[in-house]
Amino acid sequence: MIARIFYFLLISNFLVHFTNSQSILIEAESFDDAGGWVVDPQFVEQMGSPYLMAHGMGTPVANSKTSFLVDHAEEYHVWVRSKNWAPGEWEAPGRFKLAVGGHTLPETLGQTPGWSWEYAGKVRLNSGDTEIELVDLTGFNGRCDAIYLSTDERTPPNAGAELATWRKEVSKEAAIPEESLQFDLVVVGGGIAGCASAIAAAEQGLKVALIHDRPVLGGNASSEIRVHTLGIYGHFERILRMLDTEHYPNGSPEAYKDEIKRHENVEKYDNIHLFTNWRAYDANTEGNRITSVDARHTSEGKRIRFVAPRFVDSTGDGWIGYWAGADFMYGREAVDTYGEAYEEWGELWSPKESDDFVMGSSVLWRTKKSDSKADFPAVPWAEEVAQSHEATEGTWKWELSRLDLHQIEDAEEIRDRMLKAIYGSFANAKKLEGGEDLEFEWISYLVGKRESRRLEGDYIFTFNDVTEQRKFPDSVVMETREVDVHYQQNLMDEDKPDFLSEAIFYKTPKYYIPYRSLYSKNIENLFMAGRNFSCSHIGLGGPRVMRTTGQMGAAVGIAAVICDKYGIDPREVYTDHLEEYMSLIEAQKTYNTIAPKK
Amino acid sequence: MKRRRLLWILVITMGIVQKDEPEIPMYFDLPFQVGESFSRSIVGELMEDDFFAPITIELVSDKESPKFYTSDIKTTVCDDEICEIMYIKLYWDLVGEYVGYDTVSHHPLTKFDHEPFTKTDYARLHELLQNEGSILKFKKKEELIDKEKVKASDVVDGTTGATALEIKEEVVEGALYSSYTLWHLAYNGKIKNRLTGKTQSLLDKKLIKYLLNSNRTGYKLFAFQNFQEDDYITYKEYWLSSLENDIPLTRKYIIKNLPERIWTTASVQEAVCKMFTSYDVNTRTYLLNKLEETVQLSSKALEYISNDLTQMNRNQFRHYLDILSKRDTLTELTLANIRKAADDKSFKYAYLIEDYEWIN
Repeated sequence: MIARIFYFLLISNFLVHFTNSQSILIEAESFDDAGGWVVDPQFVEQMGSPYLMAHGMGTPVANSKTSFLVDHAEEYHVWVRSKNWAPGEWEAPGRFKLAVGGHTLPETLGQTPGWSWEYAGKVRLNSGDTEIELVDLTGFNGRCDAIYLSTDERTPPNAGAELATWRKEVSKEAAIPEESLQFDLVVVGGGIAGCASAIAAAEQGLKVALIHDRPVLGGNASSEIRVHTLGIYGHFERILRMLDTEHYPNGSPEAYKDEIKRHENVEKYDNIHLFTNWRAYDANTEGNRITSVDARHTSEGKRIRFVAPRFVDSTGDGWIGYWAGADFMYGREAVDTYGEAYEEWGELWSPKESDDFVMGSSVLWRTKKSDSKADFPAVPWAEEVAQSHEATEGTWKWELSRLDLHQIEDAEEIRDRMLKAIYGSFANAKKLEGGEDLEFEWISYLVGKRESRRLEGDYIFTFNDVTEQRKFPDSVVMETREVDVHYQQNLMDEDKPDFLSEAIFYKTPKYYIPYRSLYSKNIENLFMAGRNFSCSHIGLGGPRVMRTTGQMGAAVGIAAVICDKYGIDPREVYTDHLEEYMSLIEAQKTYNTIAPKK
Repeated sequence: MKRRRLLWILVITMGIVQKDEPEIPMYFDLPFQVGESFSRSIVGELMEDDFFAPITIELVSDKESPKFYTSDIKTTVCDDEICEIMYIKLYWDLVGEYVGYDTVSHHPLTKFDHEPFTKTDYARLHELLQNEGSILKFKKKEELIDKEKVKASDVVDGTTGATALEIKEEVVEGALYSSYTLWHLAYNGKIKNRLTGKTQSLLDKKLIKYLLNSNRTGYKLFAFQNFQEDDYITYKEYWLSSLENDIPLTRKYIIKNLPERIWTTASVQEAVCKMFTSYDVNTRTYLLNKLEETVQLSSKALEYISNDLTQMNRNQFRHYLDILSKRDTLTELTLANIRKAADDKSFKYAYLIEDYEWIN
């Protein structure tokens, strides 16, 4: 890893007076040695940067280290951008310290509510190579975004646009990425849908970029989140079998085996250019067309501009569409908007008036029996969430959706609340007879989302398409899975913890999703595949699972081939080349060889 | 496919024997006894795939109001090979929620090995049927058994060792398919729709009042869902009481559906906002959303909310400050409460106040 360290004279705008002080900004995610800390890039859009987190499940993790060059031997003030993720009348759970040049600074960090620059202390540095270390004190998810050393004693901007501008100035970052690459198709998001899309397009000869912000592919099915794939294969059994999972219990380490298979299968295509650990951060447009997508390496900070005639948004949160100005939906439509009543379930299914409730996010976890008594520290900061709930593993019912928490904008708070639920419920279970030797085996730190933005296509798939088993001339995805819509248990019983959900099932024969739900209605060269496809809240209930979203991906990949052949936009595949497109889709059933690679 | 062997001889010979009144169901959760003076009327017939014959649903009423629904059901319980007939009497309340069951004379419930249900089994069954969120909801019949564990000699419903573990804990031991069939009857959507439709057709002021005066959550929500605009005036104390004490789903319904002309009354706004701290987290957000959309807003109502700022979470507190920012006049107490929160070292979101210059 190449540490991102910026040395500069402080003459930037955030200072009122001109100064000539020496300053150094070190981005934590770029440390040479992360030690036991993990890089968390999930919330860049909200808090400004990937960060390092001490995800030790209650046991302090190994120090993270990097070195930097000090030009001028002087006394430096040191700040760390961090936050107390569980503020209250108790010791902050994620406490850590900073050691510079072998001296541990006096202040304990991770104690201030909200992301801010916490003052770590003063240190006299000699010129030359200097080592800096993050020293975790708790193992309970302390977090460090960046470290700032300056001979000036004024604090940098805390958040928002001011902080972003300051960062750009400090790093002397150019307006556009340093490198630009050209592809036939750019797929953003390496979940099952994105992978399927890349394979389907690559098999037909397209040069594809697959950009993913994690080190491993699979999204919710990856070993990092561990949800098994559900749904049928439709036309795309061959492709989806390369990517899907066994029906293991959610949270099982069996996810690793399927992940290895998935990587081997994606990586065997020479014309899939895989960019793992790259997170897209903008979509550049001309009129209603995307010209390129910019992405940044999640730890090294390098940037690439991905240029292509067409793009696939498989980010789950619909980020590419959002940046490009695509029309999108969020929340629950009123029952009459599309006529989606399921009478016996009333308001729990579809409300009389629209609202922003959506299906929530899960954080899965597991415990195991230790050979001996396993201690676990007190977690008073978790009690307000877990209350008296006891558990030794997470299931799909561990799900958080709250009206005041947006699944994208507040995802960090949702994740943190789930961590409190996990630690607190586990601590309660430890107190029971037989709980003495229990210890954590694994806790995900990634938010496993079910629903967020849905980009609007030429067709909005709804519950009615299920109940009427409507067939379309462009039916490219099919499913038999029940419509499965969740609600929070505490809507019916206030005493239930807010992190538990319940499901409503509508059982159904086979239903179909048209291709017109898989491209944007107003961004001319944008496909979407995954949970951000064009559907109503209820419409999402059935096909949100990963074999179904994989079908969407494959269908979109093949549509991109037709687009490439005729130099057209996604909509014209439907209006002008539907017969050829549907024949190609149909041919997937018998397609057994991999096409010549570019 | 294996042919089903239908055991229907019993049906022909015995039929269903009605019990004499008064009826004392084995399990009945409504807070009254079924008296002799209760009258019955037929709501209609309904047929499902597994029913042996269409079932007749009856409405039972006393002189004052409708009371509950009931039906004698004769249904098949099948595994892969064998079907048996099961007789049961189910009870639902006026909004179609399961409230109890009874056996039919001469037809005690039996397990698949023909052993009769024990007292514990009957109690377990009621417990299962009360659980709307039972795992049985998510399972197809073929998923009930872990096929790999079934031995050739096992009688299916008796093979509890083969019952998928997660299901085993919820069903009556040895009566897997009966449990499954009955749960899906108790929560049959078509039946529920028929019952609520009937209740809706009977709704008048007297019945609305009966529903509102009951202690049943479902009754009150049903009444609110069928309110005409004027009902919000007539029954003001009822919906205000539900806002304070009822389940979040009901509170949310009231907040979202309060008619504009009622909500724009200062006294209503104040009464609703005064109870802010007794609301659950989602109702608070619904209320803040409503306040944001309201043009004519009582300063006193906003003041009531300011009394408990530290109870809010981060987004709610920011939301509330945003709402205040758009108001020309705020009471002195509102401002004082915010300043107090800003100085409160134990208030974890005090730092947000720094973004609002008008406060400082």
